[in-house]
Amino acid sequence: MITGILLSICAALGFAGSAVFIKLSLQKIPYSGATIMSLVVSALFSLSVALIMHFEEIITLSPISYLWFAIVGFITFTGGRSLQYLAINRMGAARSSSLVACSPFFAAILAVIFLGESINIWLVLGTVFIVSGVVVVSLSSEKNE
Amino acid sequence: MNSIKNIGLLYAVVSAFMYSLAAVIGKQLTEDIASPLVISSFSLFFGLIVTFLVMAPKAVKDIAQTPIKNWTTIIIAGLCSSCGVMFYFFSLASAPVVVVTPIISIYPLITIVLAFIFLKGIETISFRTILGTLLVITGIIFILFGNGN
Repeated sequence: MITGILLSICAALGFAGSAVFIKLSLQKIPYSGATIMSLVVSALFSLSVALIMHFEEIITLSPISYLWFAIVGFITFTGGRSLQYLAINRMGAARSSSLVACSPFFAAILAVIFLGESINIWLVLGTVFIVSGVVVVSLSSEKNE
Repeated sequence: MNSIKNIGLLYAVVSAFMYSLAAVIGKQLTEDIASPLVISSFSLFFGLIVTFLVMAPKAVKDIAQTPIKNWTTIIIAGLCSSCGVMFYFFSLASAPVVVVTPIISIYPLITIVLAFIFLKGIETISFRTILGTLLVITGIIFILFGNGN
């Protein structure tokens, strides 16, 4: 479990690092170009690593598996990210970030219903504190803007 | 004006729901279908295709007009994002969704700290940022404690 928590922190560091370098890039490259280029680099890098390390697994996967990967990609990038950008456009980055930061609550509900995961009072408290912290920081950055 | 904000609110909530749904499906895929690395790479690949279809005309023009010397930061951004997605699926394979999603949601806060360190003058650390950081750290301690029980 601790490994999972450490990996989650590494993932958060990766996303944060990406956001910082995207911010730097946007001073030189327009938004759409930066988005596509960063995605091309991400996809090429991870596909190369996956092909080197899991070639046998990849060639034996069923078409249904690829369909599931496409569904996850579609939900994350079209459903999640595009709607997030539309929300930013309508109500500002800070307010929309505060709402999107509430996704762990939805995730907890879905995980309990569909995956049968269990939650305890510490997990609920931890989630409430983390989401509150992100909301406080997001609203703070809105004040600064 | 209010209706514009209300629609924005709806977009934000649906977006949050979509991210949660992707986490739950991703967790199931890591258990039943493939290794986290394969799932992360192919979800990024399909994500790229969909995004490219939406943004292609403007993006191609933007990329063509960008000098190669300006590509360094965007390549690093892409590599960071790739590592983020890979670690995300690895974490989903090693811990429950109810643990992974709150911890990953701290990334806007890490962004502010990294931006404060690396982008001097662009981001400032306010009292609210410190308060938010303390709340997040407390939350992570609670989650760690919850998993010990």
